[in-house]
Order: sequence, then C-alpha cells, then structure tokens
Amino acid sequence: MALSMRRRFFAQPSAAVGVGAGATLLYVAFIGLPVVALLIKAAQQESFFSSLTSGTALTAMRLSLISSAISMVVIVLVGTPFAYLLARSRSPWLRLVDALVELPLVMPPVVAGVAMLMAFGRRGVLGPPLEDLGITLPFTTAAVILAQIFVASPFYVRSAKLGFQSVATDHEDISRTLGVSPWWTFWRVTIPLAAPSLLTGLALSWARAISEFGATIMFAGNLMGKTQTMPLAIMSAMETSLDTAMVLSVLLILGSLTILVTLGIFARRQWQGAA
Amino acid sequence: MIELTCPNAIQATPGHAWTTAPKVQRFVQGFIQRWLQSLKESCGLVLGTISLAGLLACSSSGDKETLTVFAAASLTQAFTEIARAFEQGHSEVSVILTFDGSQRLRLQLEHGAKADVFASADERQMDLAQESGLLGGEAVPFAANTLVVAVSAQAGAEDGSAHTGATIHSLKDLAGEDVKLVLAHSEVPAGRYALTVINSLADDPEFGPQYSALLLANIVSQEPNVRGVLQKVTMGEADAGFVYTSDLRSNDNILALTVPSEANVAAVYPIAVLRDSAELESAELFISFLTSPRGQKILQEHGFNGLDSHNQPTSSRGGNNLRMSYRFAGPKMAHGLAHGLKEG
Repeated sequence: MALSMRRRFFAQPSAAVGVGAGATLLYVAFIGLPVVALLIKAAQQESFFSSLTSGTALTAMRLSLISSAISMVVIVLVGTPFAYLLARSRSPWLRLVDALVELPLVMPPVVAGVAMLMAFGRRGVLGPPLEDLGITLPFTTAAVILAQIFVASPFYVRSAKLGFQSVATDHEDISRTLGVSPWWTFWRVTIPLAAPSLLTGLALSWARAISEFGATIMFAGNLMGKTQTMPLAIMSAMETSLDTAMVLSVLLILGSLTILVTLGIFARRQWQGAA
Repeated sequence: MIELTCPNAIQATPGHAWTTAPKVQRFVQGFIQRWLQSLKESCGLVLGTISLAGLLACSSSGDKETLTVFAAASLTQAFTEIARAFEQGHSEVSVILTFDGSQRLRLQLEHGAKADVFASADERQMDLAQESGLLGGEAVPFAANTLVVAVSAQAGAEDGSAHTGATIHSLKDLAGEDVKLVLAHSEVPAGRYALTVINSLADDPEFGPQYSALLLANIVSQEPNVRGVLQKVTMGEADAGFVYTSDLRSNDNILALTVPSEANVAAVYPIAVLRDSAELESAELFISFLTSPRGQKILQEHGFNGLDSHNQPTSSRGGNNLRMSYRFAGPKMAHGLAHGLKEG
C-alpha cells in the first residue's frame, strides 16, 4: 500500500531528519538572505561609520531605546497581573477580553494610529477632557510610547498568559497550604515557573515596539529628537538616499537582535533551571 | 496525516483490531478517492475559469498597450482625470497610474521599477533621475504650482475663543506660541518649497528675521509626503501646514492663507519618457496630450497653473527659459493675505 509505504518512510529517523534539515535550510536561507544582503550592502558604503555616528542616527536610536524601555516597563507592570487573571479565570466576560487582547495583532499599524487619534487626538473622544487638564498627546514622545504599548503589548500578554497556564495550580496550592501568603506565592512560585514564557514574550514585545512605524507616524508624527524613532529616521533617510537608510537599518537590526538574544539566553537559563 | 495514524492505532490494540482494520482502511481509501475526485473537478473548474479569463482578456485588450505613469502625489486627482480623457482619445492605450512622493518614485525607478513616464513635482528629482540615466528624452515642464498655508477649521475660526488651541488668522499668527505647524519632510519637494517660502518671508521686514526661527520651532512633524500634511491639518491635530494650492481643491474642511507672490515659489512640474519604456510612442502621445490645451485645461481645473501663453509674462528671455519665466509669472491667487479661501 502506498499509505503504509509513506508511513514507513516517515518512520525512519534518517528520512525525518532529512526533511527537517531541508526545511531548515530553506527557511534559514529565506529569512537570512535579505538580512545578510542588507549587512553586506551597508558595509560596502564608504560613509558607513559616518552615517552610523551621525546626529540623526544617534538621536533616533536613543529615542527608540528610551521610549521602548518605558513601554516595556508599563507593559510588564500592567500586563503581568492581567495575563495571570486571564490564565486563571473562567469567566466568560474575561474570555471576551481575551479575544480583544489580540485585536492589535490583526490591525494594520496605520489603522491602530488612526484609532489612537480617534481616542486621544484633539478631536478624539478623550482629547477635549485631556486638553482641559493641559495634556495634549499627539506629536509628543508620550504619543510614541502609547503607540508602542498599543501594538506591542499583545505579544507579552499572550505569551505570559500561556506561561501562567502552564504552571499547575497544585504548586500554588501547596505553597499556600504551607502558610505562604498569596502574594509571596505568586512572586516565589508562579513567576519563576512562568519566567521563560514571560521573557520570551518580553523579547518579542520589545522587538515589535522598537520596529513600530505606522501607528507612530499617524499618532506622533515625525520630528527629530522628539518623535522620530529609528524606523521613522530610516524612512526619512530613504527620501534622500537608500545608502544612509541601509546603514540605519543595520543599526536597528543589531539593536533588536541584541535584545532578542540577551532575553533568549535568560529564558533558556530559566528553562534549564526549571527542568 | 490523521487518516494515516488512525488504522495504526487500532492495529496496535489486539483483539478486534483485525476485524475493524480493513473496514477503516476501506473507509479511508474511499474518503481519499472522493477527495481526489472533487479535487480533479475543482481543478478542471479553475483551469476552465483561467482559460476563459484569458480569452476575455485577449478579446478586450488583445492589441491594447498599457502605459505606466509614475506621478507625484500632488497630481493624483488631475492625472486621474487626464488619463481618462487620454484613453477616450486613444482607445488602443490603457493608462496605469502610480502616485507617491516624487523622491520615492525616483528611488523605485532606480531600483528597477518598470514605468513608461515619470512626472515629478520638482526639477530636482527629475535632475537626479537624469543623472541616474533613467530618462529616455528631454524633461518637459507641463504645469506649475504654488504653496499655500492650510489652516484647520478650528484654528482659523473667526471666533478664536471657541477652542483651546492656537488661533491663526494671518501668516504672522503662524509664529505664535502653541501653534502646531506641519511640513513635508525637507527632502520632499513640498517640504523643500515650504522652507524656501519661510526664508523668503523672513527676508521681508514686515515679518522680521526671527520669523523663520519661530516657525521652525513650531514644527511638530515632518511628513513623508504632502498628503500627510493635509491629513493632519484636516483632522485638526495640527493647526496649520504648508501644502500646494492645488491640494485645496479637494478639501473643504480647511481654510487657506495665501502666501504673497514675492515670497511664494513656482513649483514647476516636469515630465519625461523613461529610457526603458517599451511604449515610446504612446508615452510621447501622453506627454503631448498633457501640454495640449485640453490637458492644460484639466490641470487648471485642479488648481495648477498651466503653461498656456496668457499665463506667461512678456519676457525678453524667450520661451526656452520656462524655469525663470515662471518665477515672475506668479500664482493666480496670490493677492496679498486673503483669508478664508474656502470654508467647510
């Protein structure tokens, strides 16, 4: 039978390994080639180092790092308890909220930007009351941070929720029967066990915040030193020359990669610690 | 894969395994056969549809040429109408339009985008395209545009106390505190022109030398194209922005502050056939249609200054120096500081 033949083929470890290796090679080439090509082309620029250390690049990089770091602090502080509640509660209302969390993932970033304007803009729902308090959000660094939180938080909350779900309630129950307070249990039992998922989510979320473009240009505009983050600086540089834009792109990729790799290492350590 | 693991699992349990396995196998086989049959049918249907579509496409545009035109974002409405008019007169050609910032279009062309004609919003991008060897002929100027300050309905309202933001009734008000000013990025033609206008105004003693510094400090965003500027002002997020006079034709929600002709720019729009064009003849036809009275009329309807003779000054320089003569032609609507060109 053809079917059993196929079954036997896949049952052989060497065949499975072969297919796996082929797929891996294809995938790595597809993702890697554009990135490597960008690195090579950028390195060939005579102005590589001068573009890298230019005022625009450094200002934009600093703004990107600071704004995304603040976004991450907010996302972790608010997102962690929220994700825990999502993971533990069986309320149907929370399930609706759960679906809502993923909405920013399917929204094109420009739409997210328009939505932010409708909410916090001058003519937005909350705009006039905020203005009465002396707060105007559009075209400010605060707007950059809000846009980042909007598009990047689902990555953290999703991952954190799955992490908390994977922590058996038995562990928490045992801790509590031993007389440990719920807070301390959460801090010493749940968080360490969910840590790998939390770190992975944080890495993805941070990378998404750093690369955020569409919502930022809609809601925060593009002004050097104030709202011009790396992706916006790359877009602006591209209007002049692709060469400068490439160098800035390399800088952005290296920055994101550092964050991903560092948090990845931490997450792996946690996995090994948990195992 | 699920069908494959199913009999396997049953065989693994001894006892009734031998009786049920053939049944399951037959079921799976039947299922796959039916699936393959339906696949064949749907394939036939898809193939049929494709060939039918091909036939239709051939019959409708068998000998029809497609002319791809890359044009500056500010030409969107005007070129859409011009392309329609051109197609009416040349039924053998269908025009495909792509609009974006001139600098971005030029960049795309440099990196291998295929087009037949390139219409830029300034001569700089056309010159750069020339330097890159993209052009297949002389660049011809076909229209001119001027700048105007778009003011949001709220900031320009007669009764300034009705809202909390800045109030703008004149060009001088642009230098006021708390004004949110938006420009196109300085590499975008519209942004470059805006900076020129601001500097010229600062040279005027009426505004004073500190005018340009005050305005630059009021900038809250540099947009990637002029449509972005218009959008931010229309939504009322920004109080004012520099846009093209022609942009205001399609917008009712904003007021306009005209810039005096002495300080204004004459944005000349050049157009050229591209070197790699496969439709040289149609491309030339499109350009001559654009410069014909009919094409010029459409451009003027959309707020551009055309190139017809009454618009040009009697100048001793002669007709070959359009770039210079346009400096003096001046925009049609720039008569000092008229306020409230359009109210929404």
